[in-house]
Amino acid sequence: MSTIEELKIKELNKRKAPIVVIDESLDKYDNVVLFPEKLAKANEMLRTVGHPKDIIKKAK
Amino acid sequence: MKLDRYELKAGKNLITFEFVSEGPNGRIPKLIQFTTTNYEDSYNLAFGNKDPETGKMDDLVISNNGDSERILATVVAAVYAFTDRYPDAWIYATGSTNARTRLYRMGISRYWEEVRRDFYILGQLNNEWQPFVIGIDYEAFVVKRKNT
Repeated sequence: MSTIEELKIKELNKRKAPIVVIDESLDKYDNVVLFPEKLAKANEMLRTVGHPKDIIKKAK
Repeated sequence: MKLDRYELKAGKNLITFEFVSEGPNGRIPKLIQFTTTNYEDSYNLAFGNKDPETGKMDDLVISNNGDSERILATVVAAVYAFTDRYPDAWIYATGSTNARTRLYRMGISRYWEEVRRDFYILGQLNNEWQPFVIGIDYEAFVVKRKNT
């Protein structure tokens, strides 16, 4: 691998927001819940424990 | 030298992401999805393997592809991309098993110095949310992008 390529990879590794390639074939999943058990768990947790918005407000 | 994370593809709404894990057990396609919950601006984060034949998802399978850190870095990158598009989003995450939840905790801890600058991070323990502290075995996590 050339030095220029290594530098490019180092630069890419530093980026927080990644370069995302848009692939419209993935749009079909947007209205499909792929992990229904996890979603149910999240909804139940937020219902019983409450939403953390209030804690964030206090921390500000 | 290689990228510390996998290349990400996403649908145009940046709700569903795909990447391919590479390791001794081959190339394994994985999907990350941010799903709306019953609460406004709140999303559940989940990811798992996509069966290339059936298209079905599996978030319990253990790939043993020797790349868990690279996968975690990829999921963190997806959270950055998602919250760039949806800056008001609250993202809820828990593992499909206790071991996976610990992996999430280790991931947050590993990137702590970086992510604490950009996100509010809370852990859920004993039925309450607490500001995240390294070393505590939380049951779930919520992150919210700081508006810097």
